[in-house]
Amino acid sequence: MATRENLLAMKNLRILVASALLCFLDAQAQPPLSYPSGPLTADQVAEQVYTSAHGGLVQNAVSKGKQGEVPLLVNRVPLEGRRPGRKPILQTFDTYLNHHPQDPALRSLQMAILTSGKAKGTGLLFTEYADEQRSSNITMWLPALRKIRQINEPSYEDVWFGTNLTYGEIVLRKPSDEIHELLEETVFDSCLDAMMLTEGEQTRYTKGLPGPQCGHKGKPVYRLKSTTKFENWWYDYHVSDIDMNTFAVYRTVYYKDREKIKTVFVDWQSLDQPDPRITYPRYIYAISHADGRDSMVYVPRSTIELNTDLPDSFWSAETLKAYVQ
Amino acid sequence: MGENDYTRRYARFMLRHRWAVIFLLFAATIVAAFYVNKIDLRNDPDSLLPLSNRYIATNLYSERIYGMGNLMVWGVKVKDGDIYQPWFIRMLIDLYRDVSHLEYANTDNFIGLPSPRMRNLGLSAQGTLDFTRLIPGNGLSNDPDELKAQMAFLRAGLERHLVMEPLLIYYEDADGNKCELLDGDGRITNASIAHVHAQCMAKGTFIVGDFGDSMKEHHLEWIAAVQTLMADYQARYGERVEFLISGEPYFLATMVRELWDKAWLFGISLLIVLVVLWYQFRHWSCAVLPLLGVGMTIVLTLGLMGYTQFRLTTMMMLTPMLLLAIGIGHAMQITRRFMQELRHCGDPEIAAEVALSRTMIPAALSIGTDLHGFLAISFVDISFYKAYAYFGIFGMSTLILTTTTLIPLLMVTRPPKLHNHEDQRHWEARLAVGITKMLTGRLKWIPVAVVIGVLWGSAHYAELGRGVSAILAGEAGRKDPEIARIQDEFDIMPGAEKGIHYPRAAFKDHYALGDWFGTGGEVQTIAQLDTLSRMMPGVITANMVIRSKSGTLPPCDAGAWDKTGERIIGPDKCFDELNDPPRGIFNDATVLNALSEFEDWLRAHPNIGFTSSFVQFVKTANMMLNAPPGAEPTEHMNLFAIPTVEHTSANRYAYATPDDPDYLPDPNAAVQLYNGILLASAGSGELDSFVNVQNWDEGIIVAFVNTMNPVKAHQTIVDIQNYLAAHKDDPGMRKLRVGIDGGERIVLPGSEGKTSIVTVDTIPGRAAIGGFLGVTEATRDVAFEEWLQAPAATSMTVFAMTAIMFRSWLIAGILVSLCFITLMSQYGLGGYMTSIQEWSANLAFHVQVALSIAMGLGIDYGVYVVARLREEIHDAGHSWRIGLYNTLNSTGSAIIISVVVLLGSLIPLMNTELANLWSVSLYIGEALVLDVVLALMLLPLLLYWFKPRFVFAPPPKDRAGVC
Repeated sequence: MATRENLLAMKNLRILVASALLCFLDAQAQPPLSYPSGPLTADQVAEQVYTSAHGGLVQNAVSKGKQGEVPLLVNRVPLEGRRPGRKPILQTFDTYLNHHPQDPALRSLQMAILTSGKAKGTGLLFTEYADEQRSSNITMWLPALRKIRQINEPSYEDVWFGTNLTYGEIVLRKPSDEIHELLEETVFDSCLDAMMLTEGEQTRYTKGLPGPQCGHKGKPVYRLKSTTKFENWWYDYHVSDIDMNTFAVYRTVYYKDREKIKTVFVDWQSLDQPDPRITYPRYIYAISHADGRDSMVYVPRSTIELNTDLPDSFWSAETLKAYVQ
Repeated sequence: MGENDYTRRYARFMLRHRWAVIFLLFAATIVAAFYVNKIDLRNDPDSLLPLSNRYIATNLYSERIYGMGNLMVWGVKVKDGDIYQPWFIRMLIDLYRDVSHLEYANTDNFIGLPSPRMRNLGLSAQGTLDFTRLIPGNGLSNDPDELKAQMAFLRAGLERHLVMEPLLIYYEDADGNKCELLDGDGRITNASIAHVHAQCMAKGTFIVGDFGDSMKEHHLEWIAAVQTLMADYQARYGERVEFLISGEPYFLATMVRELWDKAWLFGISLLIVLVVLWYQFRHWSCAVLPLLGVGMTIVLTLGLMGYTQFRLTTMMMLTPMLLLAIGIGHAMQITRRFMQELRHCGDPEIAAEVALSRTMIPAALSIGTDLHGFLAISFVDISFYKAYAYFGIFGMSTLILTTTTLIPLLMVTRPPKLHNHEDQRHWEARLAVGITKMLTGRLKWIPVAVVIGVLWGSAHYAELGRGVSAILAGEAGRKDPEIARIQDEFDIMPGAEKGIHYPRAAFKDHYALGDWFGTGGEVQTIAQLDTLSRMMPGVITANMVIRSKSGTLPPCDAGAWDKTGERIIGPDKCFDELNDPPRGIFNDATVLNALSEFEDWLRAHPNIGFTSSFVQFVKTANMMLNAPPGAEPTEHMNLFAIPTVEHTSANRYAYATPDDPDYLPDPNAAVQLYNGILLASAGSGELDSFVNVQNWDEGIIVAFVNTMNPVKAHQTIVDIQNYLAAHKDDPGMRKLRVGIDGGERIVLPGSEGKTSIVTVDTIPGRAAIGGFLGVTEATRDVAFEEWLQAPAATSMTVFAMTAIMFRSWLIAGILVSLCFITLMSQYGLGGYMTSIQEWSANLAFHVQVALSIAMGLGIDYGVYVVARLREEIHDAGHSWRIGLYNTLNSTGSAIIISVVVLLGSLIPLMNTELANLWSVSLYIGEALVLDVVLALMLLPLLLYWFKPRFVFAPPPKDRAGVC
């Protein structure tokens, strides 16, 4: 029966503007955290992970399609809904992240523009304020309407851009939201899974998706257990394997009622910066174990530029309006 | 070689090898017993009707492609105050979590206030669009101030939720009447909402859940879990909250549960049969052995059901009870004959040989006529008709071995001792004397008058006169739609409704056992459904599958481009979602607008409470994104629309831009933008319940229908079809088609592999509609096909069989005439049930199965009477009076005892909460009682008046007994 449409409509609009792919090279303009030395506590590991994963170590970052290579998001329906010939849902996008805007009132500026499909040209500008009490703000450009709309900040549990990841996992969750426990220091002992499409699911855009990554096998990792402080939350805790050198999280397994519910694999790769913590996620692959729903974000290295000379004024509604033209 | 030679040889052979025969029969029964627990009793209505029916194909298509095939509804109504109380919302959150974690739950498809998709449609404090969850994901706060704010936010969010509020919130005025959020035209307006919020109180809400098909294989465990859960909530909150539950899975599982719960009734039934048999024979062996023989037949039949894994419904419980009833009749004939011969000769072996040889032919012929009723329905393309037919034929056939043959063999093995008190019962003689006096005197017109009365009453309730008049009205009368309908459907008995009220066909609304035992006679399943029907916009759905007329391109595979990136399969052959211009009717504003108008019309229909479709997404997006900045979107509900040129021109204030006051968005570009945003934002697969996001060329509209009355349900379908026919050439509508077409081949995915269907165009020119409304209409169509056809086929085979049996057209004609009288009485019963709106027993398709079965079974009595009259008249030297007396004194009393046994065996079927077993039992019981009256009172008169040679010709040879 159904009438879920309005529920969905609401959620969809919100998620679009809220998530907007701004986050996987996200930066929370904090003072750069120095590279640690000596034994670390669980909380210190979590802090390092947060800083590294959220791009707080660079001035700005751009991911833009070029030379036939584009950042690509692939969403596949649950196993039950996969029928012969059904292709995954694809979306290409460009992102522009400014982690250190000159205006002291601002914490960060992030911009994403959809570059394909029916929503092509739709742009989002995410403004985060230095005052933590002030909610973030999203400006959305709707090309067919020639309109700018302002939308409020999403919640932790909102799904991120139609994937099986939440906005909390990608952007909002802070180390202080969880209790961390260092389980062990060990060696990462397996390959990272990736989305494996059948021949019938392949299109010209997905042919180049990377397969499982085994390059991290044998690297020393922290195994960190993080238990949420939220009551009645969608997970009880997660266990993460964290590179002891780069603080990149290769694998995170979520548990609820002792059941494994979701695993997220991230193929963090070096950007050849002096600080080893400055990495980029070549791909993120998340699979929900209950229904087999999975999502993958692929960011080719060639699309990434760091510390460009774009002025702060670039992050504006005017840029969104003019971007696709 | 005469017939007696064959039967004698058969009897001697069996007696000679009796231990082998007994051993083989018992061995087969034991083997069959091991398969009884493998019976696939899954009660799946989806498999009842032929998939080639366009309604059924459309329904299956909508379920398999768009889901929501096994819906459940939980209603919670607060007894004091409104729903905006923290304890109530906390309970609702818990209930939502618990039911959505039941086994087989499709959690993503659940709808309710605590759903993660239940969002605000308003502005934040900063004036930005706000889509926060109405109930926080981790529940309500314990901080009083925060809690107060959360409750206020929930209330405000719901009260401006123009789509979910009408579906999920039940409003009641001070007098306890339901308040409607939609206005008289089916539209939601600021005025209609304001009126309800001012005058009414939110008293209840609903959780709608969806469950997977695999649940059907674990009915009993599943319903036990549901009942345990609800009992827990009832115990904790029952004083403050009224809990209601309904839905197809619950219904079907409850039916299976009910059978198990009332299994003890079958014991009562067997006891009655045992007592009757003992009363008749005064020998325990004569009471036990017939039950043993019939029991073996039942076990063999149930074993075959288990072995074949035929999908059965609860209605199949009729089969063992019919086998019991009919089998006991045959068992009594052979037992009675054995005892007669034993008294006559004193030698059990001779008695057995004579009894077997004498009874074999009439028993075989009688079973042969029984089979005809089943044979006729085996050709009807309805799975449970076929199941009745196949297993009925098998079971009936085994009776010749397990009763007629086995009982004398067992009697020989352990013969009963004869006593003086085994004389005939006095009532038999009194009955024979009374009826003989009546039929040979002036009172013989009494049975004639009774039959005329029955026919008149039946014609009256079935409205035969109105039907015939409408048929005779010809073309001139067709201006009256009812006359046109009667002509089109050849509904010569319009008083007997053939449509089905599915819930009432499944369950009675009241049952006597509950009253007797003081547990309440109201059937809760129906009571809760009725309450939910009053509270919700509708508890059954009509699914309109919308597809393009022009056809759909497949998505491009990787091979559509060569290695250099050149496209080698063009956009005329395949579609590239990222680069090709948008296509598909759901990217076309004229189509969306046409569908929007269609939905508006649906919502204004008196029998439709609400609708849902992807169009509502698009309209919501249009309103949210075009309402002036800083204004509450729901204050601009005029923008809840498809942005056609007409709409945007009329609402220029919302669409013009500061840079260009004359700017109006291109309608197609605007809806494509909304579609793109919705697609990019929804979780993968989340839009699959509404639209095909691969090709954008098909989707579904779900209408919630607020009636299950078969007459109104049919009218609703006709109205929808008429609307679609009248608007088929409108802009937008001309690009689409609704439902599966006739002659179309569809391949559907399923848990047990693909299903390939080729439809038959049974409703040319009309749109096929799915959902429960569509299934209801398909059932009605099948009923109209069969209500005359199946009995006609049965009567033809019965006529042929009796003509061959008695070598007399006249006798065959007389017997079939009696069948028609019985049939007419059943139509009359259907008419009467319709007149009192007893939808458990109108002439719906599940009841119609009784017509053919009763015809086949009822003819037995006539056959026995004709055969016996022939014997007795000759033995009495052609004295009609003596021959008639002797016939009634022997066969007549046996027939009456058979009917008593049959009615006794119907007790368990009549006294569960299940309506289908009750109604079929009622029709068969009524028919057989009338058959007895006709066989004992009218048939002798007709034979006397028409004097067929078979009865009154010279006596046959070899009438002498063995002794």
